[in-house]
Amino acid sequence: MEKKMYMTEAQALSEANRCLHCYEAPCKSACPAGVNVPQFINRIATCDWVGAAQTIKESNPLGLVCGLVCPSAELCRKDCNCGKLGESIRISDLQAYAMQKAVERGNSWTATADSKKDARVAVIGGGPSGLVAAALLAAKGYGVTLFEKADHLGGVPMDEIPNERLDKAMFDKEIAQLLSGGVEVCLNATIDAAKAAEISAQYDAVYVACGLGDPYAGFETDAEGVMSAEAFLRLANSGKLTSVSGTVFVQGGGNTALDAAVTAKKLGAERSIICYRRSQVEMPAWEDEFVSAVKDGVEFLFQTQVLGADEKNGKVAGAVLAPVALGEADASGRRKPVVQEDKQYTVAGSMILTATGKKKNAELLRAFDADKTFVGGDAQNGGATVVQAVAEAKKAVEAIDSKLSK
Amino acid sequence: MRIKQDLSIDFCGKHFVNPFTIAASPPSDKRERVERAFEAGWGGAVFKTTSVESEPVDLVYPMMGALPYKDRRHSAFYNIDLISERHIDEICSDIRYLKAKFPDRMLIGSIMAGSRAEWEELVTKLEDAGVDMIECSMSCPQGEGDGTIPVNDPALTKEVTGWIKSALRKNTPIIVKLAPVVTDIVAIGKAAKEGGADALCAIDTVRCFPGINLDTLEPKLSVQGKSTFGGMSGPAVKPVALACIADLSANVGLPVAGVGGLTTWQDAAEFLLLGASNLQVCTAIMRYGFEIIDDLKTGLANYMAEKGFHSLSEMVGKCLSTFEDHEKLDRTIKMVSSVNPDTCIGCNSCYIACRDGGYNAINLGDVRPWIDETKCRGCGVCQSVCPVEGCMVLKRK
Repeated sequence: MEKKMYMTEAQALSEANRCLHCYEAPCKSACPAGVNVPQFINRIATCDWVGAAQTIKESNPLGLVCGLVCPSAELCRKDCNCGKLGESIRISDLQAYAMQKAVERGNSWTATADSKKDARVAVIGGGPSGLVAAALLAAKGYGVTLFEKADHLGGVPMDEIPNERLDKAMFDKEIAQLLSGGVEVCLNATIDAAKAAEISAQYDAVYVACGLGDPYAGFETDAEGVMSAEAFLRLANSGKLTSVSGTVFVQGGGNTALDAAVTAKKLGAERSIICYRRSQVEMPAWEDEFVSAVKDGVEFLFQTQVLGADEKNGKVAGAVLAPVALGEADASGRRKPVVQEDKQYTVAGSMILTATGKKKNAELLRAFDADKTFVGGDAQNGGATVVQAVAEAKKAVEAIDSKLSK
Repeated sequence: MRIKQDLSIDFCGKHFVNPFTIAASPPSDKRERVERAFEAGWGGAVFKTTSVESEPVDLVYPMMGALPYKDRRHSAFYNIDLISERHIDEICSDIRYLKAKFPDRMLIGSIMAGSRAEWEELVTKLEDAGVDMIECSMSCPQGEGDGTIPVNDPALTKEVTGWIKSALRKNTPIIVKLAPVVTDIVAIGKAAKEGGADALCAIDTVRCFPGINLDTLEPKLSVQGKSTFGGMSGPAVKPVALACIADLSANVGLPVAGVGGLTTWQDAAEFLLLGASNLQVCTAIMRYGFEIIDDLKTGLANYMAEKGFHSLSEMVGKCLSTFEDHEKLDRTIKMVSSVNPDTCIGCNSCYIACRDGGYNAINLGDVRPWIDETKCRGCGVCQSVCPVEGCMVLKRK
């Protein structure tokens, strides 16, 4: 059965009534944002939709987005006590359900400051971490300016998560409601060293949540048909790329690689093949995502490295692949990949996408006055979940508030 | 989380910060429990029923169980508990302490006695301790049958209430608690009023028996192989409680404290709308903890905001006018049932119900059943058994 974005009301009530409302619930302590899960579930079960949303947004201002994209199986559901009796509770689905009702009604975020403070804070980056920090700081009464490089807000989830996985229309609404407390937003704001110095001088504190920089290139090439998975996803999500043909290779084993591979398949690729240098067991992608990709027809070549593109007339005609042997485990516990270049071979294809991570924005981070600058989100943690970005924003806001209150 | 609505309400002239009160039960049987409950936000507490120092209270164990229904494990609870092992002096000490620490919360002493002298002693001590209200337990189904528990006797109820009233020196409001399984609860309520009661409390637990363990042939609540009649509480008794509360509210003319299966904010709203102006809870506290007060208050406050109620007193008894004698209910407008083609799942439960318990008006179809409107009388059995919310609706013929 096709997975729908949201549960129906009947599904939500039935699921919410299964919850045991444990004391010191494992779901609550597993949530990086500390959402009071048993409480919002009880409010769904008793049809207090407004109350359920109030509970969620008290801890996670981006409750809707997280409900839709959180790796629930790895976080809140992992130690759910219902899992010991049968199925663990579909916590993120319930959260998404409660929040979409609230966002639709327009009352998902109502925290407004009792009084205005004189201090001003600059937030660099209009992705999840920056948005949450801006909203929370405005709610405390600070004057907040949010600087965003692109012409729209939402960061990586808005641009790179496939449209089918995230309700972007609702995300836009959630963002608008978050910023309605009086945050000044500057779009198309690229920040160089001079601008950074200016901001450092004009604001009492700066929260840098600028995310990561450019994606790493898997290999050097000018051939048409090679790009980062992130660039591919941006093109697909914005509607600039509507169809793909032939065989698409995706280098990488994380969630971005899977998103790109699934998207390529859905855009019409005859074959969409993930090439990951280690084995399935060591794949960093979340298990739910992997299973879903298999069902969508994505193929997997494990212990395989993409060495480069086989070019014809400046375009990709295929991928040059090599098998990878796995040696001793390194500090992280994953076995060391040893590429066997002498055994390379070529497979015909039309596109190669690389999903091997992004560089840090080190230069931008250094450009701000360290004494008044706080960092969070992907820029700080190297690329993690939306809920982690939210947790870091909350922590930074407390630190900024504490500093500016002295 | 700040609640913007005003949940305060007056009951017998006493100002409750919110109507949610712990019922006379194990949750109110320890000072530290009531303390924690008040810290969590409860508006009041009725101490577990107490007695004079010399009264023997010999409890038996196990003393409670749950009544499951299919996969729902807690459709109701039941107990063979007795009154508190803590006697009046200890209760009075708690009252002094708690009243000092939580001056805006209401403390209600619940008492049971075996003679006039004992009732008078209990009343005097409670008043001296500064109690806000006195609840008189005349209704416990586990009571002895020696005539001093006036469960079913209006005359005795009036007499005992009179003793209690005469013993008052500070005009403390008296609440008389009633049992549901009686011949005429309104008669008993009126008798209590004549005796001087200021309010009624309905309901105490419902006399029940939990069943037999078919493997061992022992009763389900087995004390070394034997059991006795218990008192049922929790969600399953709510309709019984609502009937009593509505009946008393409409026909006696005293404020009513509602208790019996109150678990969610919707229950609270229904109790208020049918006449209760104080809301007591026990079973839900045992299942969910005192923390449930957050959801009760938030849910009720959000409901008030949505419906435009500015105070809870606006809600009290608002739906009593919807009651009508059976013979006066309208029979002229004919209704028939209907199936929603978009949500029907084709289980045919309605067909079975109508065939064996309705008017044989439902026929099986290729995809879903259909209603023969010439035969359908709109009795409602189909929508009662239908598992899909809102699928079967009665409409005018």
